[in-house]
Amino acid sequence: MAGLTDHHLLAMKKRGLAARIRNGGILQWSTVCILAGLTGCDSKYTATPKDEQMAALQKKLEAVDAEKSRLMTGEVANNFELPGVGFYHAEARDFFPYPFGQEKDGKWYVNGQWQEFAPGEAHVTASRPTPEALKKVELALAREQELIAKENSGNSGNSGNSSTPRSSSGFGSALMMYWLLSGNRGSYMPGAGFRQAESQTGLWQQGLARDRATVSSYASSNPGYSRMVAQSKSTGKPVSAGSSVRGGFGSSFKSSSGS
Amino acid sequence: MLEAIKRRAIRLEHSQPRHDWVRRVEESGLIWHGAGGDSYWNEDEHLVFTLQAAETLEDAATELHSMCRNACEEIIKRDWWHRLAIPEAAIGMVQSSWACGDFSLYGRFDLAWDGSGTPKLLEYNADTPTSLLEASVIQWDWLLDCHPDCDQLNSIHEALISQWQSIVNPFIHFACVWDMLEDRQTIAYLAETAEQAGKSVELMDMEEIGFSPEGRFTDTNERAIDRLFKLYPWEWLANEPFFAEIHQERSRFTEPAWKMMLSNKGLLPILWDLHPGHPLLLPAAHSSDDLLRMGVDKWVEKPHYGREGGGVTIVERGERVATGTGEAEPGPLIYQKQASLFQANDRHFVWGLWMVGDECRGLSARGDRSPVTGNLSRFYPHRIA
Repeated sequence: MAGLTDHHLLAMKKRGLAARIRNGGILQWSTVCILAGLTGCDSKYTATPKDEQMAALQKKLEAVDAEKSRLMTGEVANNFELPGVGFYHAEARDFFPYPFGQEKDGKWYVNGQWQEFAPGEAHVTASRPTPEALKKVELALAREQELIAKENSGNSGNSGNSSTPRSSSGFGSALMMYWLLSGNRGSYMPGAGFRQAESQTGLWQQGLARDRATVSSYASSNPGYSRMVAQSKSTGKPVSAGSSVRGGFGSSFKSSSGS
Repeated sequence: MLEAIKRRAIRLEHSQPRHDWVRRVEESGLIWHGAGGDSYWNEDEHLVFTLQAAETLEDAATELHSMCRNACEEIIKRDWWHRLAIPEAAIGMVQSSWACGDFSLYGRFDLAWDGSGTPKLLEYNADTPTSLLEASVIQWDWLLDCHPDCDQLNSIHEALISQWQSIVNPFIHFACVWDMLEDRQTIAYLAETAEQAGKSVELMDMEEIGFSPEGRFTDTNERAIDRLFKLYPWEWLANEPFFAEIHQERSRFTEPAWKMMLSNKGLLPILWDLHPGHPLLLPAAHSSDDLLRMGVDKWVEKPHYGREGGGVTIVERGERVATGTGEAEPGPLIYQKQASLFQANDRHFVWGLWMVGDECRGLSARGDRSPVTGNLSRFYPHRIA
């Protein structure tokens, strides 16, 4: 800082200019809640149907973002769900209709078969799909493109809605399929579905960007929603009635606890 | 003449408030900037310290912190619990907490100093210090906007981030009395620094804390609390049902239980007994007669666990001349010689020196027409020039 010597700067343990309150951080959230009169975003916030819809969309977007880099390498994690294709069983290197380890009537679904015993707890490492599995993906990609095209042509018939894009669930699925196939180009012979997708990816990315903007706008105007999402991520489960005893602290309060 | 004024260790200067100061401070989280028409955050006046004066206060805080830590050792060694009025049930917890070196985040010394002689310790708010946001962020923003060429004794923000980084817990819960907005913004600010340190955080009401059959404190999602920052005094916790359940969970609490020895006015006579005549201390005793025997006839009576000036009374030659406006806490009193506060424009000023970990990292100023600082006393930004 101007006017002070290096010795003084050291002596005063000067602050770095980068230290700031973040936009969208927890302090700003708390401020918004208080200024809003605590409505809809206090500690007992309950999710609305719109919150749930946005949270589902946000989850899909985040899944797409998280999976992109891995899928581009050609590998797929065990139990990864690719909508329209199925659940990936990494040991079998193929997609199946049920999740790995799903239990039903005393049997467990593992590597495409119902077996009499539960799969081990050991971590199943990611793997590259077989050429046959990749063909399934390409067929699903072709179907997804047909659906997107059909929806877009349907939308074009609606007055004032001609440019409304498909939601990111479609774009996201198609992109994930495309990325996975791209990462495995050497393992199979790309067909028409893949080649056609190559020309569409820019449009799909735009669709995702629009959905991201929608979620971001909703989150910034609904701080309770942001907290709900954060809480859901931290606990990995929805809020449920608990078994803890509560109310054993906080009864001595008379005035501010601060000093 | 002007040069003589500028050489003063401390001076109060008038200044033009920023035209958008309300928006600026609220954006940074200070939403209780006034009450009843009086401004709490004040920038039509500010304090100017010489570098030497700021360093005098900083050095005083560093030395006092060391003396306080030494006092903790002595309290435990000499079984001076009765001198602190710490509840019997809490003594073992305080001892264990100190012996294990339970993690401490921050605290604030309140010092008196009129710019001459040496600063004097008024008290150590070691457990639940507030006015943190304005000390760390709001006055720094003011400095950047209004006096970018000047300095400020203030690296609280980075120090807090660094202190959070020193503990392993990836998830930290912050609790206070939810309806107290100042307290809520204080924990929200601390949570902000924890997030900037890479931690995940959750804010909650003290009443929401649960205790599970597995013996863990939990949040409303049944998540076990690994680290709890509670802006809630230990002396209150000690009287509540869950206190008996803390046992093995003790080390998860921040501020730690050993701060009960410091956030306690009973510390003041102990420090005086351990360091009689020390230049940073005021004579203090457990009875007014003891002070009279020392030749002191102007003193301040303080309850052991008072806050925001509650229960504080200034006595001069047997007459009560001023009383704090806060709610008085029942319990024993201590007696401390009245200090000479810096005064300007009909205000009395108390200096807050912020300790983060074991280092002094910030300075703040509160001013009041009353010589007893209360929760509505004005906050004044400062600069070093």
